[in-house]
Amino acid sequence: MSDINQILQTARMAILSELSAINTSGSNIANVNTPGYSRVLPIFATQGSVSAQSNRDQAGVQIAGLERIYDKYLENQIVEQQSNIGYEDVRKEALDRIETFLNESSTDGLSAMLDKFWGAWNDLAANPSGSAERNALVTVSQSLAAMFQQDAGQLLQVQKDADTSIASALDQINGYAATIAEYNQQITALEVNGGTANTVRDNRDELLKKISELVNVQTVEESNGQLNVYLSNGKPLVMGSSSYNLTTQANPDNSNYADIVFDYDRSDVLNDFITGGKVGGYLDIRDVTSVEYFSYLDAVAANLVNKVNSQHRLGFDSYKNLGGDFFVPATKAKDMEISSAIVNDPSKIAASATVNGDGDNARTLSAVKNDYMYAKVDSITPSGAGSATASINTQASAYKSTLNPIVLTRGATAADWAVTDDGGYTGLSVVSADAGRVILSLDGSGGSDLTLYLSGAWNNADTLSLVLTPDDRTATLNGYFDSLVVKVGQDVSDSGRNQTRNKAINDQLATQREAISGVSIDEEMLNLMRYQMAYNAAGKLCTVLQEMVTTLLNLGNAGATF
Amino acid sequence: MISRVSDNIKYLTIVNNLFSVQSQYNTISEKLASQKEINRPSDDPLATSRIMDYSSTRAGISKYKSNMDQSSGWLDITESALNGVADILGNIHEMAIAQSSATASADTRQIAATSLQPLIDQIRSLANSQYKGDYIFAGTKIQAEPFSSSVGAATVGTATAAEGNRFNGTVTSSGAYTGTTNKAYVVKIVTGGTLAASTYRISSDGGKTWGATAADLSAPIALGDGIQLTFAAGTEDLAANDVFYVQGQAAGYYRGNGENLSVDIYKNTPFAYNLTGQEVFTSADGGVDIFDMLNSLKTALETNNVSGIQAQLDNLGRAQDQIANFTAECGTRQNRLDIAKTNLTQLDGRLEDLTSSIQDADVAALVTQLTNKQIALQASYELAANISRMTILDFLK
Repeated sequence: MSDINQILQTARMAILSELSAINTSGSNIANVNTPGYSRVLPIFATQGSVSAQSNRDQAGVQIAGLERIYDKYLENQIVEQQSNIGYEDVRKEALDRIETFLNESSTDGLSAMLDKFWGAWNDLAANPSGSAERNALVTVSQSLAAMFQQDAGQLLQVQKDADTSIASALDQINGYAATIAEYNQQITALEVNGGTANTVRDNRDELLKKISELVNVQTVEESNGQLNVYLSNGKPLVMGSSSYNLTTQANPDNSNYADIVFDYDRSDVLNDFITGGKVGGYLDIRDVTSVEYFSYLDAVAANLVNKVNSQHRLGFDSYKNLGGDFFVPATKAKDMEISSAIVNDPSKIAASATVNGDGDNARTLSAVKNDYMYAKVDSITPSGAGSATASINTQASAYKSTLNPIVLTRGATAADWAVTDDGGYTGLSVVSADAGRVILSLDGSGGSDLTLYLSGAWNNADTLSLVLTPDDRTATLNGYFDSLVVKVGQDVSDSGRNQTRNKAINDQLATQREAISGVSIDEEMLNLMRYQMAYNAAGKLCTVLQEMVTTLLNLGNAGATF
Repeated sequence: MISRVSDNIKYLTIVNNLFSVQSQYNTISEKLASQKEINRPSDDPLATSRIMDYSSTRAGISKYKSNMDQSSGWLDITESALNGVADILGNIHEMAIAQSSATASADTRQIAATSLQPLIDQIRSLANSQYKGDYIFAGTKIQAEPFSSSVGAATVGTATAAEGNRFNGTVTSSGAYTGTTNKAYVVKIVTGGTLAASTYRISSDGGKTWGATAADLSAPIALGDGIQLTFAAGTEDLAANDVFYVQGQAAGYYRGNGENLSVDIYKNTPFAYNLTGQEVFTSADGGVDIFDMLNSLKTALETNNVSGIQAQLDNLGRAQDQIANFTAECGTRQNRLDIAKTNLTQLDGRLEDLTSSIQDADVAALVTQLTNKQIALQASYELAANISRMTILDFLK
């Protein structure tokens, strides 16, 4: 059985529901350009039912809820992708900087300067008494040393900038984490009565993306709607309504660069677990990439200084003295400098192989260009007082030997090294030795790892370095530097490709997200028309009911009227 | 495929495509502007390494070429000096034949002797020829005139301490020089200290190669070839790398040495470009001592010694052969330079071609690509401009 009041009630519900739907559409339209906004759809539901059996013939409408159109898995993928993007962006930017100052496609890079340096020795060989040639050599050598210093300085700047950026990125992460913790609290409060905190959730997702862009994180959403954010080692950044601050701590073993730790536990260094996001990128640039580039640059500088000095000492200068050090002895590119004695008096360049003033030593020096790099000794570990073990790394593969260890002993005086060749390694001899360094000559026979045992009377605190000669056959001086340039070029190129790929993936994900959660004005306009029509129809229903009520009220006066 | 196109998708798609086309357009523009395919190492790392390798090799080649030009100039001067000597020796030979015959008299021989002196002087001045201020026949002692006008006896030079030595005592040389060629003896201190405690090494070739380490300088030491050095202590002890040297001068006219001057004409390929006065004009290497021979001839003419003249005729012939041989040697070395230079020039050209083929932009291809990208860019702009026109709002009146 129907009655008019019931129908009026239905019309009222319809009007209210359509109004609410129009309101939702309005919000959607208003937020069409809001980042992270997920569109909301009203869910219409019938109230009551129409049923022939139960004689019920009335069904109204109500808004059962507002659905936030949202794909959780897609959203997670987007969050993860932000880490990749942040990481590669940072690396690409730093690598671009490095490539710019190492730019060897131009004609005035370090490689070209090395060629000029060898050329200047050659010119001196052709005219050993010429003061113009000597001055030119000094000038070129100064420029070369300055260029090594400059390249090392700029690389160091990139490293330092990465280090400085870490601290400010951590501040941002801490801020975002604190806000996420607040949102968690709000969401629980709002949703405890069955509501949905759509806006807060959208905001929280946006923050999560920002955190993820800075550092790689994992997330778990609890049943109460709270989102927990963890670092990759499982330690929480955000746990329910609490957040934990990250901070930096200078590491004296790493040039006082910042280690990343939690404020509450400074002993636990997190660097190894941060492999993505901008912070991951900064760490990679600071601790891996630029360290590797430094090792190339320093190796070239150290080899150059050592080889030029060794040969220079064998010659005679214009005063018929034996040559001194041409470069100030150094093992790092940043310390490269031509000896001041030579700058002050270029006649001290030992161009001659004899006291007769020929140019043969200069000629030999110009050919150092074609010398191979020294074999590199991996590490020397003092093993107890007076002895040390050294192993030669793969670069020196040509000098590996299966023979027994070679024992070097240092005698009573600092400069007195002796070889105890207990392995019958006939190819080994000491080329030169002083308090800090032994230069060994190995003939290169043999195949597997060679371990050098050093023994003698020195303190564990003494720095020992071993330089093996002749050379490791992998690269010449110029060639080894070139390989650095190629390495940087390859890294920039790879990083650029990764960046493009990450961006493409991100665009694709963003498009998918937009396809699901994004607002379409056309759609909203059509919805609006739909809701408006239903609103109008419900209004019409009211008009009809009003007429019906009038008719009904006039029924009593029928007799009088007719 | 996306079934639902939201408004942001429309913008995102256009913006992304616009950026991508713009960046491609920029890359091509940069290549066109620089005319280079590779503008930074990351454009093509492997090609960059080849370019760097080639350019380094070419820098070397340009130095090798300038070395060759210098050697070639030096050899030219050497050859023309030797030609001059050969001509004069020819004249002297003719004259000597004439004066050795029975028709010549003591008077004619006296006159010939007088006219021989300027010829000898002329040969000496040729033997003292210079190239850019360096004496070409002096071995490595290119700063000093190698041939003196008067014959010298074998001498042991004054012992000299190098200027930078710490040792401030005295060092004196003594003995009679027994060497057949001029040598520079060098003593290098290996470990310093008092005279008795110090160790040293001796070089007989000016410092190129060193003998075994020996100890004790408190007593006179024998350097070799009859030279002795005596050290007397001063206020400063000997220090490592203190250097002392002494010249041994063989009897004769020659003051230079027998060392070669070399430059590299290719990687690890030293090229000796000088002929030493020792090998060309003296008997030290088994040849004829030309100045000694000419002076003997002059003496024979002056003293009217026919058998003496005839004895020198033989030597004159050998001297002419000797000069001719060394002239030919100049030619051989020039030839070697020519061949090496041709090879280097070809190699240089080849490397230039290779560098260019890797590095230089293909302008025609780039312009075509640029036009393509321009069209794409225009289309993107067109699309961007029209994006807002396609909406249902226009139809809802």
